[in-house]
Amino acid sequence: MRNAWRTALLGLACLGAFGCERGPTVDSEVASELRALRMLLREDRPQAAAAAPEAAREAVDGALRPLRDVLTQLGTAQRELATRQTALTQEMQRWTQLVVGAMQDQRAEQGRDLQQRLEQLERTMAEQDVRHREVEGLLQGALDDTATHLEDFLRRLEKIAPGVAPPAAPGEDGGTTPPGPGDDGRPGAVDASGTPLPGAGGEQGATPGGTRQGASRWPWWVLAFAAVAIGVRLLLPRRPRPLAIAPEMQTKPATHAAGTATAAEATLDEPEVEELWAAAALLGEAIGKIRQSTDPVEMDRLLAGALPRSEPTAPELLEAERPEPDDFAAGLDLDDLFVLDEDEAPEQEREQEAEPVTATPLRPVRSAPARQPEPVVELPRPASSTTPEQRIGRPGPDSVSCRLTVRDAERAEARVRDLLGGDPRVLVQPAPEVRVAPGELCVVFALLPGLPAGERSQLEQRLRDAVA
Amino acid sequence: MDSLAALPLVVPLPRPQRGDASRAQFGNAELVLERARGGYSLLWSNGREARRYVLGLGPQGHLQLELRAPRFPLHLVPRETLTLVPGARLSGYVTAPLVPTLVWKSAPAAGETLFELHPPELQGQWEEDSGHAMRCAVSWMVRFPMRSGEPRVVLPLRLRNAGNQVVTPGRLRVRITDADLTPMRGSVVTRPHRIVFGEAPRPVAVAARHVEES
Repeated sequence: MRNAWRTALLGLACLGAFGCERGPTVDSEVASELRALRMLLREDRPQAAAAAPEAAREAVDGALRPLRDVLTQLGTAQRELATRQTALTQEMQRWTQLVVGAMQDQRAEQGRDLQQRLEQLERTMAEQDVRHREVEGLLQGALDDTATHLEDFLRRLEKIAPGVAPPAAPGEDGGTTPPGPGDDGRPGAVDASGTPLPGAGGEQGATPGGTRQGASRWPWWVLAFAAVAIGVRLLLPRRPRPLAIAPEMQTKPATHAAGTATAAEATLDEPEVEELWAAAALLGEAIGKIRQSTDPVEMDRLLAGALPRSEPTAPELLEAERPEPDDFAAGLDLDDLFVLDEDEAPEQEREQEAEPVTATPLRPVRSAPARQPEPVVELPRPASSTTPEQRIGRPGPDSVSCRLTVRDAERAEARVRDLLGGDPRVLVQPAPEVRVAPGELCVVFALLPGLPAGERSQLEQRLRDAVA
Repeated sequence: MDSLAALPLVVPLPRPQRGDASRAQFGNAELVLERARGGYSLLWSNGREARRYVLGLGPQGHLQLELRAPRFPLHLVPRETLTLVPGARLSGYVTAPLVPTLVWKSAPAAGETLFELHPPELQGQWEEDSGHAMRCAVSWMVRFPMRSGEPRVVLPLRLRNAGNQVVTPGRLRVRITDADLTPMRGSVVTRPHRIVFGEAPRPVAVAARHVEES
């Protein structure tokens, strides 16, 4: 019932609308034509879809026909190439076998040549060996003939001069030693029993081996003495031993030690120090070689003899007044020439250097041999009431003290002690002090002098980081 | 005389390009210089500890690392007990660490010390009688020590007891300077040092004025 009413209302509305319309326009005509064309296309589409596969198959066959021919030709060419490559590979293998065979043949030929060469060399060596044996035989025969003739000659000499004792047998000195000054056959050179007389060349005849050994070593002695002379000449004027100079010869005794140190540092800066080191190295090598080939007793005797023995000069006489535990000439150790002396009592020497000592006039040299006891005056030392810093003349350690706020005092103290103990910039003496206060740590430590401010502050910051 | 390439006393540290680094190694320690934005960064590490420095360098000059002798006297504490009877002599060798020092060379003859990388073996101390010194534990060696590549100096020592009592030194005082250091046989050596114990201090003698006046 209700649908009937709705249909009636819609029909009335459509009649009203068509009744009010003004007629067909151009747009409506185009729209109707399009609508008709769409209907035609919808009707033609199933027929076109049914006819398309046959047309496409033909088109594809036509398009692929030349391609199929090309592919067939490519396959044929590929097969030909494979066949040709196989043939080439086989040919290459045959060539390789031929080359290897040829090389083996060449090696075999070379081996045969080498074998022949080796046999030839062996034959040559055998011939040379035979020749050497022949030469040795000839030499042996010549020596035997010489010994025979020499014996005959000596027998004739004995017959000519029956009063002269027979000389030593040729075998004692090898028979090749030329006659020495004492073996010239003069009466008196040897006694009746053949014992060599002293002072008549008998010493040389008694130890012929030692004489030849000493004669063969004389270049080493010359080299050693030259090296000693050069080393002493280079060293002595540059580094005088302060203890070897008498106080009377010093113009400024109070400042001599400090001046020596300054002079030594200045000398080390000179380029000539390199020459000194080179001479020292040569000297050491020469001495080492001589020591290896000579017994120490003879070495000491020769070195003692090598020292110049001249008239004593004034410094030597003045030095002789002071007893030296190890005399330079008696207990000479060449290595000591290059040794730096370290003072074991620096404080005492510094105190002595600080003393004002009046320079004394030089005493004439002729008074030295008199060896009069020289009055020695012990100068007063500074009072012990002065502080250590005043005595040393230098400031104390650069100390740093800081307060660190901490929560766990024990852990913080351990960390601070570890940090200060492991840092090389912190002095271990005086030891760092860490005092625990309520809620904070009081740290006092000393630093190396000359430490930049940046490193100092960085160390303090590390302390703060350690307890944070 | 000997090979100087084994342990050089001076190692130039070239300035690297941006993003690059230059390295120098002394024994276990290594130094790395890097060019960062606006400056240079220097990292030093010995395997156990590392420090970082930030450097601002001028256009002219270069950095170099020098092995220097400690600035203060060395107090060598031997690990062995040394005993010398009266009149005895003792010869041997000890080694002491050197101080790697970074130096800025703006001119060939001029050098500015930037900082010293003190090795942990050297411990500074201050005493009333001797002032500042560096303490170092050493082992007494009877032969020339083998080269180790570490920045250490070989000190030949000659001890002598000139007194009348037996001496057992607890430490050996030695002073070395940069001029004493000589690269030799792959090591850095100095001249032998002689230490005499028990030698009485020599009094300062004043000559009498009446000797030849008459």
